[in-house]
Amino acid sequence: MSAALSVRGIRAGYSGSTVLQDVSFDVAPGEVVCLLGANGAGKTTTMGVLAGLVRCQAGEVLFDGADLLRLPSHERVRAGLVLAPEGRKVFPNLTVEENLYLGSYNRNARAGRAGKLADVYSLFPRLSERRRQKAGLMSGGEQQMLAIGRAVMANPRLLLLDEPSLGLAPMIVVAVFDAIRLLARSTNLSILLVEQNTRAALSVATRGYVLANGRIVHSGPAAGLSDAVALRDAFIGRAVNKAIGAEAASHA
Amino acid sequence: MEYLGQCAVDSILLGGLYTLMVIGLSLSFGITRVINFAHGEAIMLGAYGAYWAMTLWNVDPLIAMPVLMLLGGIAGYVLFRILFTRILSAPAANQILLTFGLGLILQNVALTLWSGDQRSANPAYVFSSFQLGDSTVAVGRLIGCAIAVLLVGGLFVWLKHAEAGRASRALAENGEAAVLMGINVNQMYAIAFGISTALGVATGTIMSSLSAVTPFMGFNMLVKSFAIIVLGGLGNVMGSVAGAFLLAFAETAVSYYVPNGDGWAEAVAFAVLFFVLILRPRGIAGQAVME
Repeated sequence: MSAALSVRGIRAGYSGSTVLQDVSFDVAPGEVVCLLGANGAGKTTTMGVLAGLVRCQAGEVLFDGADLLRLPSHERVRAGLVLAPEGRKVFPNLTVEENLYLGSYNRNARAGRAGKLADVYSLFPRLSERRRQKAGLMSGGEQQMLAIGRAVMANPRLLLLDEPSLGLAPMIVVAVFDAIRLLARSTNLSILLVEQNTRAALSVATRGYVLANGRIVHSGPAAGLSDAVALRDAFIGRAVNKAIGAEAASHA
Repeated sequence: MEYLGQCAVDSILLGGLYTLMVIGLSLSFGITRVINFAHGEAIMLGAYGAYWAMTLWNVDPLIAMPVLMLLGGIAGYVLFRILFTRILSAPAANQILLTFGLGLILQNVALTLWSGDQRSANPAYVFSSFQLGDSTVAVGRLIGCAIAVLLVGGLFVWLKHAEAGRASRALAENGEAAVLMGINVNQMYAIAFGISTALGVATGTIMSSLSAVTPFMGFNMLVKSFAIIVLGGLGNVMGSVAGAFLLAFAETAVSYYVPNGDGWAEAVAFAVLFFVLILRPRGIAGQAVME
């Protein structure tokens, strides 16, 4: 069964600085939702709060109606909330297959391990070819496939994908997003996708939110969102340029 | 060179034991990133455990070993959960002080319980030996080495194939990613530490019949372990094995070929530490480890 996520007014950050001011959004069961925004907007921090890597200072997160923030990180995985992190974070000295096995470490995923492994290998045939290779020796695209495959192994009901296109060549991005599109079709999975690559993200998502300076500034169906994003980017770009110009002038 | 065969036989038997001694220390450091300065005390208490089993209940040290290892493992697990979890993200100096202080406490507990007299646990077979070509093989040492090889082999199999072993390797590589796999990190740390302690206890049990048991033997073992780690490079398992045999060979050679060498052999570990740290601080085979 896919899961519903409801994020209500969360505030979070790291020692001394608050990154998320007030963030609220929803993911309905079976839905693919994307969270867009510029560098530093708070996308990865949001993912960190959901996975339990970043402490939440205020607000509430409901996962299938239950309080998510009370669960320690490792129990969230067992509950079905699984993150494929930014920068992939595969285990470099372990083989591809060992990485995938670790994905299904949680007790709810161990039983169906063999079947899931076959699913992942058919989703990413490349991983099957390289199953005995050390993960650290693979290309960035292959490592991204491994990170997603590893998350799928955990038997997720809500899959969190943090910047799957980061640092990948355009052709590889297409391949990775084709796979995400296939995953999205599965009825028992909701997906929350964080991306800077707006076009790729909106090609799979049905709905999206735009995050800026720790707040949600836009939300809506994917089709309408791309214009809003373009506008927002242009606005921020102009404002920043203006600020830099003013600073340069004051130094002159 | 007289005694070359004998020297080789003795080195190999000692090397196996040293491998077991150092592998426990490497395991806990590799996974928890805390250097356990009290590892020698686990060895010491294992040796006294064997001594007690032998003198109080007339139980052979090797038969008592599984029970002693289990007790040591549980003690290690509990100690880690109570004490070590508090200093995991503390500065290295705090970690050293905690483990070093723990070692001092355990030494003094042993001093109170068993006094400073030298003890040993000597089942009959440790005094027997057989001829292998020109060399004499001491049965006690052979059994000790065989058990050490068995335990180290068992550890490798566990790390390679067991669910928890795989998880602990993942944890050693990337703690944050390990959390995302649903691994309970604090529990896995404590399990690794418990296993490390159990291996230390096993080392001590074997040593109880091969060398004098004193409350302060742990420090010697610790220095030897560091010499081995320095030879093999920190965080390099195969390097540790090679280092263990290298130190064993150096000590044995000194005791055979240097006049009054028996006494000097104990200084080899210090000399190794001294010279390697001056000449090649990253170890003979190792690479630099980022801290």
